[in-house]
Amino acid sequence: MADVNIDVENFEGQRKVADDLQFQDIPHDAFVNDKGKVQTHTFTDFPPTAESDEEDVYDKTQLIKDESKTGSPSFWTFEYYQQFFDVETKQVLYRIAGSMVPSPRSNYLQTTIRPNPDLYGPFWICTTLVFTTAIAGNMASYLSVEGKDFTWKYDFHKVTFAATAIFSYWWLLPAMLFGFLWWRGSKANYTFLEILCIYGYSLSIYIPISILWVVQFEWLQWILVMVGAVMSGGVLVITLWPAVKDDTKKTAWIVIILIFLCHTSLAVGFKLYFFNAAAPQISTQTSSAPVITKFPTTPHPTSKQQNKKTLVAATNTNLPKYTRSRLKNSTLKRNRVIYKTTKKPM
Amino acid sequence: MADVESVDFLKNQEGLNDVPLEGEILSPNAGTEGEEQEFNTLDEPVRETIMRDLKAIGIKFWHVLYPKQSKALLKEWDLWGPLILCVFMAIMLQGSSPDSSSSNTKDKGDGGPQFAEVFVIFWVGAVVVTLNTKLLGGNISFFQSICVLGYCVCPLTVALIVCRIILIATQSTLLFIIRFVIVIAAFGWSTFASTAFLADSQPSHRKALAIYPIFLFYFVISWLIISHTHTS
Repeated sequence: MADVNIDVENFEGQRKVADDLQFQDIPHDAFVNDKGKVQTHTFTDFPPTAESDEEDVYDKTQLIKDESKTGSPSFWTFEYYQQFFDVETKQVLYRIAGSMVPSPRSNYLQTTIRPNPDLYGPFWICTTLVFTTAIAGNMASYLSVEGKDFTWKYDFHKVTFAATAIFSYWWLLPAMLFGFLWWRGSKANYTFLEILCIYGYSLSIYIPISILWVVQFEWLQWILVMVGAVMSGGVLVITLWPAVKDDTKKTAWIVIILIFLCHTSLAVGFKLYFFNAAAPQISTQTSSAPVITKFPTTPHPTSKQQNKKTLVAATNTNLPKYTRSRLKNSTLKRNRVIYKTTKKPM
Repeated sequence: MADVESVDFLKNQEGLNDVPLEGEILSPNAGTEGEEQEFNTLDEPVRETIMRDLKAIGIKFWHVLYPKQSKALLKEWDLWGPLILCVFMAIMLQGSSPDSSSSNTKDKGDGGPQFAEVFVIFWVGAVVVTLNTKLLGGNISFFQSICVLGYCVCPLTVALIVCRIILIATQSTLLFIIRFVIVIAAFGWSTFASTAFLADSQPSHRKALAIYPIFLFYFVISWLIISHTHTS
């Protein structure tokens, strides 16, 4: 008897959901006891082809399920890394173009990188730069000794050195900068990924420059260094200025100048290390250059320091004084190690 | 009536059962190779097994050398071809190591890469390019992509052999230009072949992003080949 009553209630309830909703609201205490209420729960498990009135309830449960799934994918899944590669060809090209031309009016970060910083561009720019620098360095040393008596021998280990230098620049400097900004509580909220992105794209101007460095005119090479450092350094500075401008004036300016100096010393370091065989008196030295650059022991240099010490011996020691003194002030540790060893009498 | 039916039934059964029973019972191991080949490869001579694999490798090389849109490379990948090519190239391209015992400064090796360096560049390069393709959202499997990239190095290996032959003669600028042209042609061939196989796995607005690393990979290998001038 009671069952019949309840069935009738439910039958009505199936037609009028408004009644059902009101039913659910009023007797919350009788929730468990009343079989009718349990019955109305099963409504929500019906497939979406059920009557349209029930979509609200169905959607709500779907939302609850979805909320737990739309959290960002875990660090250990592949999808986590896919979000860093979510760019199109055009976007990458715009970002590269934007990193080469400093424009004080628009912030490069705001216009081109946010809200979608990527790792594709910086990674492949760095890789390309590694190989173009190594290849162009070999070509430059070949052209500089052409016509001399001995046969030129190419130096594959430029690749390993270039890779170490470039990738550590790309990762260490943003890490240090991000740490500094976080420590000082910068209001601009640049994420580590965005800083990585900015730095990676700022290296893109050195790719055509490294190819042009093959031309054996010293003045042209230095002009290229200046142009490259100023332009991409300018973009870097303009983009990173909002992050430090809230700090004390002294700190802000020091940071900006350091950023610019590091960028410039990277360019100068490349030029001096890879492309430095322009002067004719180097021929006697470069004849020993392939000798010194070979490692008698392991195929891979075991430490960066050993790499630099032996390879640097091959670079031009006739540095003009002004670059030597300028490089003394360089804050980049890498250069400090390089140019310390050249002070030894060769 | 039931008896008659059952007798008829039995007679029919015997007739029906004769033919298939013979086939199944009498010869599990007889020469029904055509039907049993997929399930019975343990019994075939070793030569057949090896020849089948070699044939598969050879077919793939053929597809690379005459690239057209075919799925043979993709469907059944194997890594034998890339391994053979990589080991061959690494042996040919390695520079001689300097002789540390001699104090003579003239003969300190020729600056070429070590065997391990070429090997690592090849495989790590292929892995990185494949990861890039997958991260960009390509729908090709990891090993299929490595298989294609490895097989498409074949034209560059042919160019390496040709360059080595050219290097036997005394060098001059003309011979260098010939070597250069041959390597460039092989590079273009390799890139074209691999893009023919791999390009379809990417959506169109990212094709260039996926093709550029392949281009860079073969470019580096071409540079290694053309810089190799050691003739001992």
